[in-house]
Amino acid sequence: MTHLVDDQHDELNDILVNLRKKKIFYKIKVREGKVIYLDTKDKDLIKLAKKNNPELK
Amino acid sequence: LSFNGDLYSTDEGLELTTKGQIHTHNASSNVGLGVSGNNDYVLVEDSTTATGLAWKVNAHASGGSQIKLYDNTLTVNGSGTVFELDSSADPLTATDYSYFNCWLTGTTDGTNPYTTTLNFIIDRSTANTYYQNGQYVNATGVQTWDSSFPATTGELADGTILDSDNCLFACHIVGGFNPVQTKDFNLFSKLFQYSNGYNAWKQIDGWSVLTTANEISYIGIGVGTNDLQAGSRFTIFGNKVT
Repeated sequence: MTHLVDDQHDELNDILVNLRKKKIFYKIKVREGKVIYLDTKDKDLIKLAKKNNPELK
Repeated sequence: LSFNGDLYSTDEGLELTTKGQIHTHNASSNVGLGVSGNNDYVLVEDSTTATGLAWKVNAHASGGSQIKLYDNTLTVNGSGTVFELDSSADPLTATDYSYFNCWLTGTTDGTNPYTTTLNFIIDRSTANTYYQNGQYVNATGVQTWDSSFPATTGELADGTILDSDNCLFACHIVGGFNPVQTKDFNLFSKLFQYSNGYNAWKQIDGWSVLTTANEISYIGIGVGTNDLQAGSRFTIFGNKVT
């Protein structure tokens, strides 16, 4: 029997956990895996969101 | 025929002389049943005693209870804090209550595009310390996940869901104390807007929003921008542990 495990790193979750630890504000909406809204000053999160959805203004 | 004026052929058992004693029968004669001497005991059926009665601990008392704390229906359209339980004269404490069950039904009122938000307001707090996490699912199953930290309100739904005039919705909210974080108040809410088929699930941590540790004085529902229509109703039941 073969067991397959998805061990992909969840980069977005890592960033959000870190922001909460540092008590840094964010507001984010994700639809079907695509970031559709973001409000934050965190550069890492902005970078990730733009990579995820280049159409974000 | 004659009547001697005595309605009782015997007065056996009728002369009760002790405080709290009640009149009963032991299958052969009238007897007085005295109180047990234990406060809060209740009278129950007990086939093992001569009278079939006994004073005992209330078996239902330790299971807690649910009591109605608030029930209001809007008589006119309104916005802002449209519903509020004011228990400031007798705050609801974590000692008495574990959690609260709230039921909200409503209809939106306003001009399209409708951009209102529906919020759960804890202790009238305007602190920017709500952490919330949740998801919206539309009528075709498309999911939008959202998270904010901290957030300015305990947002149950936004204009994505309450998106037009005359939207009908029902919302169940469960909220309660956290004995570890004594000034936190946590919520779970589920809202179904059945005019457009959207639903919203929210988990909200009112992070340090209670004015006094382990007690809450105000529970409110607020709407922004547009109104809720007359007929919208909010009820709160408290789950007592004492």
